[in-house]
Amino acid sequence: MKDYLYEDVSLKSWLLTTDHKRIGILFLLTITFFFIIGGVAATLMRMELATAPGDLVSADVYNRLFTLHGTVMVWLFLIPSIPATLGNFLLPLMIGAKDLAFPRLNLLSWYVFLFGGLLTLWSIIIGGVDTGWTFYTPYSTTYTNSHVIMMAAGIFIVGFSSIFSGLNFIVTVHSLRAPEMTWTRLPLFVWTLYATSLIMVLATPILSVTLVLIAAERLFGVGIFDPALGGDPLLFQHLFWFYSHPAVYIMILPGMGVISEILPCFARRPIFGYKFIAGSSLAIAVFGFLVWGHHMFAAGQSLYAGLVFSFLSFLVAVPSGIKVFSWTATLYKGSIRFDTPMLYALGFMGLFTIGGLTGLFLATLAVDVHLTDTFFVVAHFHFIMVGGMLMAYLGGLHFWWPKMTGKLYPETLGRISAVLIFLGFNGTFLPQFILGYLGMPRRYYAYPEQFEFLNVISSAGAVLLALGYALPLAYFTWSLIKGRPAGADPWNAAGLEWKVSSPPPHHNFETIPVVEQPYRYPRPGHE
Amino acid sequence: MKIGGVPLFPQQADTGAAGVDMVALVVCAICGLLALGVLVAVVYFLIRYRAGSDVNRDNPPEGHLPLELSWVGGAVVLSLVMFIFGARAYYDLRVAPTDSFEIEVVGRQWMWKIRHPSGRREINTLHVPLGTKIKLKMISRDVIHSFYLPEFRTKHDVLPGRYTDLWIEPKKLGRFTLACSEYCGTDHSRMKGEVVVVTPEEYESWQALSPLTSVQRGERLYLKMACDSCHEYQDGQVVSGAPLLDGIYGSTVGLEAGGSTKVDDDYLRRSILRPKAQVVAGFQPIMPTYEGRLSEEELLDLIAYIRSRSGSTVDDGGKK
Repeated sequence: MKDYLYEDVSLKSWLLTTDHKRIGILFLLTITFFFIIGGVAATLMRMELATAPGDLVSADVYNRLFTLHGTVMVWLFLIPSIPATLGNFLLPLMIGAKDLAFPRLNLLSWYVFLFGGLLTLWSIIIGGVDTGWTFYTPYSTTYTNSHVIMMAAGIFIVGFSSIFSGLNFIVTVHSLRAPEMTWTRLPLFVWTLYATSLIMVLATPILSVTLVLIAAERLFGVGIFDPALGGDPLLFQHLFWFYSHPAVYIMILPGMGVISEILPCFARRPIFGYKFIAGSSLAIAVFGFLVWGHHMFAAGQSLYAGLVFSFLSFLVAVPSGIKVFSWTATLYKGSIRFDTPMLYALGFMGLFTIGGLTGLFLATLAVDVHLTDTFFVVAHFHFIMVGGMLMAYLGGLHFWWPKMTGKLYPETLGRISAVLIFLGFNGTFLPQFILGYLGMPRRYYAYPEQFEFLNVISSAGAVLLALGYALPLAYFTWSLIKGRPAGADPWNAAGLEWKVSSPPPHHNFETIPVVEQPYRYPRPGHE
Repeated sequence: MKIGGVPLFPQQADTGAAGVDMVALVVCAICGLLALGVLVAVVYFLIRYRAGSDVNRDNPPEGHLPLELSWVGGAVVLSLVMFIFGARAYYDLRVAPTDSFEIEVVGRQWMWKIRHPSGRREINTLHVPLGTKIKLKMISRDVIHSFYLPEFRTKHDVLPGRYTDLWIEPKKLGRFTLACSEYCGTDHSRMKGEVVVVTPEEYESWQALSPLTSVQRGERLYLKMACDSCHEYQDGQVVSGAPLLDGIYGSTVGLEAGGSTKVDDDYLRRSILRPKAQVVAGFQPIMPTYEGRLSEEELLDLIAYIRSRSGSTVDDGGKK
């Protein structure tokens, strides 16, 4: 019986596939492409910032670069990253289903994503946008002459892809679980995908509406956000962050799920605190909707709104803390192996912990007033988004690559890449915390001389980081051709996805799989 | 402490700066201890329980309710501590003392225009007297900017269409950074300047070098725009149906459309630009709009003049 990759190798069979695994691969290729584009923009920015004066590019080009970097990385890479690739590929396998509930909707999700992504890219090619990914009004609606509408249209369309995937995942988890796959046996990765999907379905429409309002003001002069037209610019910020703060959890929750899969496998013991970890994912999804105002402590929001949002922002940190403590406890009495996915997972724990804790500085009202809109914020969210999510994504890719492709990658190079990325990341972003406290505002293309030293360190770190990313790109590609066959279960892992061959057959399971308790490590009968 | 000749900590130029740094240190201590705890535990477990080590691995716990509840509780308590520290300092940072001295700031792409009570104006430089409570009343002519004073540990966004404020109390003589921290277009990173803290005596003599005060400029404008043809008495009678301006500032007026509003700077500004939106009860919506006919600076002058007619010299309309 042929696996999903070789069942039919024609281009048409790929472009019209409804197989969740193939769609996962299509997403993987697409977001890798966008990641490279966003990465090139970041590289140019770090090159510009290596010296204090603005010399490499012009101010307008720099402003377009950070807009491009933010927009592409947030909407075309981070938001779809784990859910659309690993989630798509693994969700049905993990719950013992043959596919997602709506396979054709799943394919549509990819086409919609591709179309919206290309439209966004087009807005960049024809001249770019210089508003920042946040599109703050009235700059974006009245003052800039860049291609805001085109980019907003692209993101508007990409939003539907999120909504489709979210719906699909929710319905699949509810209706297609194998017999015996009870809610308390669901892999924690599935729990996080479920929580993520809830946010995608509930929050994305707000973004869509907001983008439509921007277009209405820009095209027809309807006064919504621009005070000159009778609008209110803070209204935009409320609407934008009402989506974009939960969106941060869209980006990080699936990463937390991946870590919850990797840690028990390489610690060879069951996860500690299953119910608390699962519950904390839902708590994050719910609380995540109530903290958007912490982006506006110095923006003109009332004093009392600030107090409430600060309080709620501290509460949303608690479930993240629960996860970190539970992961730590999962190492207790384990039999720990240090394979590549584990190194990535440990790197995630370190960077995510720093990212989360520095978030508390920003939740603290008086401190946020000083730090907001400085490099401290830049460092904080990169620790979460890149240190957290991207580490988790790469950890997950290394963990499930043998399952997805049937091939093993060179383990030594894998470990080197994990270490390189960890070091390069810290080199890039740790200095930015100090820069922020010293008062270097973000989105500055030229900056005072006194900040140069730390910026040079940051740019040097970025070189290491870029090398670290290039490595997996190279050896993953290499492994497709020359990699040794992986076998069904190279890690000796629990979970239904390891019970089928690698790569899995077209319909995943020939017979309905037998479900056991999650994370049954050490594997009975093997060790 | 310095690194590469660069200090790791900005100077404290404001009486409130030490307080903010204190809160940051409290948060830093709590977070540092948490991070250290996790790091030590992780490293210890990784070494002790590495594959192949000879240690007891019997019955690894899959949960431990008292432990889990205790770290939930612990996290909530620590959060509350940080919240309270931050909130207290924020209150002090945001609420300007009523006796503060007012300086006006108008932001525009890409410069800061500063106006002192004496009428003296400057661009991208803000002279302030040492040891004085100063409230900056700010507005933008175009997009959102943010008035950021790192050495004073404070900033606030400067919005178009609405006044926002910030207050400082300089405690150190010298020159300090002023920067725009809300992205505002091409030259965002060049929209900067400096705060010059001088002694009160120097400030007085510096300020005195001004032809007209804002109130005087406002009065001239008031007459030039013929505001007086409606808003004044003639032989004890209101000339044409418009509210009298004497004593109106800081009062609460009923509105024609129902409800009431406090007459503060924002209300005056709106009433000049869009007079028909909130008409005082008992009057007809007959005043023409001055939208596009007055700059933000002229609006500030007019408001200063109207305030002076109620004996008010600072923007305390909203606070009384």
